[in-house]
Amino acid sequence: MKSKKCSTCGKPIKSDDKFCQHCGAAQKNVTPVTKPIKTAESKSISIASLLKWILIALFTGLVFGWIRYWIGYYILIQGIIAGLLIPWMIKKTAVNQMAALSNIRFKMAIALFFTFIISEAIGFGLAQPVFDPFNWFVRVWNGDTTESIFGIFSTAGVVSQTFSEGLSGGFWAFLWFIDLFFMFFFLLVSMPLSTKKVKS
Amino acid sequence: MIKFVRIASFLLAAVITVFSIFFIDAEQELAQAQLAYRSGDMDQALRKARRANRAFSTDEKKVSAYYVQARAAAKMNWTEKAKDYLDELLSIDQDNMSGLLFRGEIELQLGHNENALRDLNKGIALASENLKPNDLAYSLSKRGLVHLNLNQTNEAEKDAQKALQLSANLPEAHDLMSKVLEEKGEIKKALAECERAYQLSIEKNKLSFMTPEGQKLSNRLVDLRVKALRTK
Repeated sequence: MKSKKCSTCGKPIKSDDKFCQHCGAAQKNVTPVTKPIKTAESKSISIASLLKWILIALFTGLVFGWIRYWIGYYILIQGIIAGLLIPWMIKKTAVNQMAALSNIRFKMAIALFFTFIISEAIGFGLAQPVFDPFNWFVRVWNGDTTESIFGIFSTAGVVSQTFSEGLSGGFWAFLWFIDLFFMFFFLLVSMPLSTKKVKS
Repeated sequence: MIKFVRIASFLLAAVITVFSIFFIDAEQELAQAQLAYRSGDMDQALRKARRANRAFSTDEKKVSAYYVQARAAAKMNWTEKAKDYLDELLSIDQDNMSGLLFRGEIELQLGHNENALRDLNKGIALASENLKPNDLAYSLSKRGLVHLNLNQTNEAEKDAQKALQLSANLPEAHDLMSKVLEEKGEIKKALAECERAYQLSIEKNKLSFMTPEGQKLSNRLVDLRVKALRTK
């Protein structure tokens, strides 16, 4: 904090002090509290911005899908990270469109969610030796193959022994569903919220 | 401070991700890939073998990984991909017997008969002392099929006879002999050989008629029975 001298006693005081701490004299020319400068908020969302946000979800999905193939599935962690990361990146690029974005937050969350899921499948397929993510999904569901779970080896005992070769079938689908539920929840609550108060 | 924590967390996550992909126990991954292959999980066999392959630094180990990859890809009917893996394998080790024999088989499936014959000839020459009689008979049966495709019936018959000498209960050898006899117009003998091949394949695997090869064999058996009836 900047300092100045008292206009009466000449001793140093803080720049925003209204009275001198030493002699108690009232101080003139107190620096006014600066009001935040409002930037021009756009009321509508441009197509370019919309495309940019969809691309963010698309790119994130591709990376997550690629990682999912090579490392394995991060149950819950993946959903939470994606659910927080996508809105964070969108907020960074939507500085002047927060109000407009908050008006369509639910629709936007749904659009981003499905874009992520589809692009994650594409990312997974691109990591496969032959692009085959949808048949792979059926194979895991049927129990013909398993999906590795990241970090399962670090657990001990029955959990590690049971799931070390991965998951398949209904239990795998159930955990995936929970992961997606958490992702959508975080996606929705992390989107900008409208600050306008409704008049009664 | 918060910015620093964010950057540090992001970098840590990136390092863990890269570490998890590239710095792994490759030997263990390859062992798991082989286990997955034996248990019939081709997706995992392929994935783990590829992970191991990325981590291996020696050519000898990479060859083993490529072989598992090719086997798993072929089981998934990704024949072109299997051939790519075998090409990689043979670019490291030109005289790899298993690689040559398997690539010959894959080339046969793809209809590249000249290439198949070249690989099988070289593989069988290397294999004659190192391979089990049953495996050698299998490769001879495959080469016989290539000869048949190239209209070299006499060479095909020689391979069929040699294969049957080595392993009298190999369905593929009887199937080849049946095809050779059919080509020579001896339908009744061809039918008998085909029936023997079918019977042996059922003895080997009760559900063999459900596999693509088993279906082909049963279709041929039906065709030969019809032909035999017509020639009466």
